[in-house]
Amino acid sequence: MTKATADQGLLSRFHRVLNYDFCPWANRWVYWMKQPLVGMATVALTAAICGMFVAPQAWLLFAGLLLVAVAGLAWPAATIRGINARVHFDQAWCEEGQTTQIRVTIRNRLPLPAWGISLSGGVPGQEVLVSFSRVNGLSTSQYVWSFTPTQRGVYPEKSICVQSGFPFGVWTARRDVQVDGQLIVFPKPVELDAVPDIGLTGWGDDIYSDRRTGDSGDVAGTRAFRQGDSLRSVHWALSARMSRLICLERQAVLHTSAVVSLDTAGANHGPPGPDSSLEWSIRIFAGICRELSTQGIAVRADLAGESILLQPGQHGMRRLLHRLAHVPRNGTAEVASPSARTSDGNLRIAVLTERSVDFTRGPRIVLLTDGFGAERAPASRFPMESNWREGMSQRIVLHGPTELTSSLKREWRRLCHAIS
Amino acid sequence: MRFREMVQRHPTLWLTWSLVLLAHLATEIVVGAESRDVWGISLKGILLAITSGGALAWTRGRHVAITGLTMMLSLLAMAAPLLIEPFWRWGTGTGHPLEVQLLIGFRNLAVVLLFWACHPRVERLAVLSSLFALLFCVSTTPDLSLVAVSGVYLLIGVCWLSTVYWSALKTEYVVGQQARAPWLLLSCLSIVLLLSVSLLALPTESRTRMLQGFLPSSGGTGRADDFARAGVGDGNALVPGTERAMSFAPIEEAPFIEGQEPSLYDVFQDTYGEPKPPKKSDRAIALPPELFTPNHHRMAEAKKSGKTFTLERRRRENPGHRHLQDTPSRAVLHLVGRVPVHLRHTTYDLFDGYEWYPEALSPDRARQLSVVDLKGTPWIRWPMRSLEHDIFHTEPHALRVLNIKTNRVLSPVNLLGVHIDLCDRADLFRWEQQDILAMDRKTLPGMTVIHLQSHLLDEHRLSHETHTFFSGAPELLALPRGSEMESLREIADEWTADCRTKWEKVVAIRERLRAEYIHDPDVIVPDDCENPVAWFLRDGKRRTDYLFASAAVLLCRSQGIACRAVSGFYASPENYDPLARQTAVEPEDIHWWAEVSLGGSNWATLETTPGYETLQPRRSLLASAWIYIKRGGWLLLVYWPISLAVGLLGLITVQQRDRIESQLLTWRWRLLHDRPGVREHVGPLVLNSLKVLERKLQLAGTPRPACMSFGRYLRSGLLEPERVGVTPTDLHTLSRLSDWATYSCSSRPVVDVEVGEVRRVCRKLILSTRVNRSVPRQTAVSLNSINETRS
Repeated sequence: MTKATADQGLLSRFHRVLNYDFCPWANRWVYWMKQPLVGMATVALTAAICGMFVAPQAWLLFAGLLLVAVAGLAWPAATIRGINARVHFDQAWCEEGQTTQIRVTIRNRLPLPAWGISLSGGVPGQEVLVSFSRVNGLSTSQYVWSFTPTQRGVYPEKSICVQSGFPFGVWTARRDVQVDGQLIVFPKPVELDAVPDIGLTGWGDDIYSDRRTGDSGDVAGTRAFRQGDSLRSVHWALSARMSRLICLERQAVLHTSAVVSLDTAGANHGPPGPDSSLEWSIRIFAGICRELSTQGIAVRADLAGESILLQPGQHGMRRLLHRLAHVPRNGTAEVASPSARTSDGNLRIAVLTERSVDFTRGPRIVLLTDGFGAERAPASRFPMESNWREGMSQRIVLHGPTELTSSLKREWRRLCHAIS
Repeated sequence: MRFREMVQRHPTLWLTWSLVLLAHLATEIVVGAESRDVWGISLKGILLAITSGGALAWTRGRHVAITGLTMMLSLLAMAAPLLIEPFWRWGTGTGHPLEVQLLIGFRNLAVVLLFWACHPRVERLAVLSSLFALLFCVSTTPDLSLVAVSGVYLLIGVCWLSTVYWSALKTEYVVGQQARAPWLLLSCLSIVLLLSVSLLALPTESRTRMLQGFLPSSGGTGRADDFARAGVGDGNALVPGTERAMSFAPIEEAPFIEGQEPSLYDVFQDTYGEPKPPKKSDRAIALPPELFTPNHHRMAEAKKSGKTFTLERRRRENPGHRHLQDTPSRAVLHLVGRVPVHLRHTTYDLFDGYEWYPEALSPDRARQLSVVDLKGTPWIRWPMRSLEHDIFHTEPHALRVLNIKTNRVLSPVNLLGVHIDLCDRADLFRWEQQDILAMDRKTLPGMTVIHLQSHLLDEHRLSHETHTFFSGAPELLALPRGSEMESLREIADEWTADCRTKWEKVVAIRERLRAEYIHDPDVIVPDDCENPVAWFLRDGKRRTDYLFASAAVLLCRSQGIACRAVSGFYASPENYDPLARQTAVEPEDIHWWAEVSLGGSNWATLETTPGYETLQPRRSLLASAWIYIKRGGWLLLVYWPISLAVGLLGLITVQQRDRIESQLLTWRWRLLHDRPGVREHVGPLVLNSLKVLERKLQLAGTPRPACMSFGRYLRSGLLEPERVGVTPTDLHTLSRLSDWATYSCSSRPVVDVEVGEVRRVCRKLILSTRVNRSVPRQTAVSLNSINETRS
């Protein structure tokens, strides 16, 4: 058993050594070599050298490769020169994971049909967005593209290109397309079902809590009489029927507020992507804000150097999501964490990473960047990680996206009880 | 059902499998080329097909991950032939040459990678390995079956490329679209490509360039390999010519097949026409009696054996050479080395006015041949009595006899030594004439490379020397007697009247003949001609080369200069093949010229026929440069309109160099940063744009002050936003980006701005900055002016 493990370790080390990027600085000069055309050109050059110096039969392969290369270069170039495309974002906004319909109009000025055309660019992490198998010659065709964004943001992020590598894909000709409108993709807030019990702050209007009991508002339920209860709260009819004192429970008035802060500094997050720590921070942040706001707590959202007071209802939430959609995908340039602001006595909840500067007290949701989108590094390299883990009752430490579905809700409930 | 599912999920997998199998088949054809074991090759192919197909189906279903095992197995499979080969040779006594081992390694790599081909990058690597394996197979063996395999590979390869491309498309996101690939079109395209390739006329005769062997088994590296498949090396596998008649070897015993190569006599007949029958009447001129008597026997013998050459010849009927018309190459020799070269075959000393008699070899003057080891190679050398003056340079040549029947070593004048590979015996050679070396056999072995070293005369130095010419043997000074011989002497006296030395006389005769007469190979001596040489000098201007040579010899001899006529081949620079780096010598290159004795065994080639040149020593760098300058100047004068246009263009270019550089910079920037589809980050875009802008500002005469950063410069207002067509906000944003790109260590821009917007502003700035020659150049802007601008 030990020997097998050692062998596996040796093989994995071997694998790591062979796949290790020893000179990442040189990638920009060598990545073009991954193009199929470069591979073909290399073989063709070798064939020409062999044909010239070794055996003339190699010219056969050279000629074949040359013909394929010429056809693979000329056809896409001609196709793209005859194509005009236009993308219409008819829908203004949607949420992550929600499918939206986008109209694409393609005009082919050539008498031949255009095969294998694609749209590319505009969406980070996706080389090819959508492909059209055939566009008839001398015609204008309209297509409906079902687009499901996996990451919040403003689309298209960059210019969208129409491209073709048909028939061989050895080289891809590109051309910019005209884009009408844009699509704002809101982050999808995580589902949370608990709210921390927050003390009264003495300000605000009469807002009643559904979960907390008090002496105002509607009747929320009944319970057994406890020492100290006011006699006016006794439900006498029910007490007579039950032969013991039963009290009415009413809603509690909420005059509470909370400050939820989000660390959007790019330096404190890992590499960008749909499962990056920044994206999940934003989703958790939006989920907390939505939950607190739904429960009538006045929420002030601190993010990217600005403070947004959430208006009650859908409008306020949408405004926050709109703002969150515009946070750069790489994070903001601001390095200072928002939680470092001076406290005003309200409950402060912060969503941040282990890299964030944090010197205030309060509940924290900490995302370990190594587990989000990046390869997990050995724990010893990050002493901060162990600090976050140990004995911190008001903190939730998330190691990766997989924990979000399983333990976030549970941990959040635990955190709410701990605060209460 | 399972197979169909697999094909649908990964359509290229089985195409990859087919490509790898084809590469395997090609490798097996190369490995089994000698045994021709068709059944064995087929069986191995089927076994591999079944095994790899089954393994592929198994791994595909499980989606085997790429691990260290993949890497280890791939490397092992590639290196296995090299590792196993020593044990294989030791155990079985047979083996494979290095190129075949490498080939098998490539094949193995492709086969191993096939098992992980469900990963696209491994699949691509497997296809690339198989392609390389096929290429090396095709280059290794000229087997026609490999051409067929290549064709099928090309067909499947094209299908593979198309399928890979089509499977990468995301057609499923389009509502209501049927993602059907145009397979019919793609099939037609593949077939058209294959037909186009098959219709190409390939140069199957030989490779374009010859290289020294670079693989140990291909010969030429000096190392021998017992298991070499072929080659021209001298390893143990070289079979002596006594055993296999078709092999070639530079040894005496090799029984060369009696070929149809033309003898030199045939070539003379074809080129110059047949000799006329002798006249019955007495000739008007003859040899002097003091020479006729001692040489009578030799002359009669030469005449009997047909070795003489008469100037009276019939008109040639067919200019072509019937012996060589049906051969693909008409070359009788290949010469490696500098050209032009006069390759001597026969020297002639006696001339009776009509006929040249070959020079006889006097046994007492024959030089002793010996073998000398020079840098590990045996050279046949002989004692040379060199002149004291430093007028010779050593010149190497190599000769390959292709299609001529002679045993004489065709060599330049003043031959120093001869080397034939493996030939280390001097008794294989003998002197055929005084300076003509021959192999002691009937003919030279065909395809044998003969290395020659000779002394090349530096005429330039000779003209500076007051060199005394030896008189030479009486035969070399003999003039026939006749009525017109005195007029010939008078002509020579007239041509050399101003010459002080004998060499100046030689040069004067040569230049006169070359300047005043025209070479015409179709002219023959008329029937009623009494003295052909006098007729040559007196009547008409168009003559053949043997008449030029005869006239030159007689004119020189009339001035007391020992000389002789020579026949042989002229290796013309026009026939030099720069790709093969050799000169083909064809039957038409048969030629006559004269040689002047410099004393001892040293001779100087005297080329009097117009259109023929002699080889000159290598010039020094300065001398070559001076000659090129003179030639260039002459060309400039001859093509003066072009020179004038180029000169004017150059002047305009120099005068407008700033504008041109500025425009070139703009075009370069637009090519790199401003073309459709280009994607880049803000940082490099800003930095490169600023570099271009800075250079353009310098060219425009308004450079950025050295005391200012670019950001500050942009904010300073020295660049007027209205003039360049951008808003002040844009300029301010660019200035901030400039500071960030230049000085910040952060990779995140300080301003959240689209790349396209930055590109637009940079474009405006770069295009609006133009060179204006009316503005005087400025090297720096004073701080006062900056402050004034700010205020």
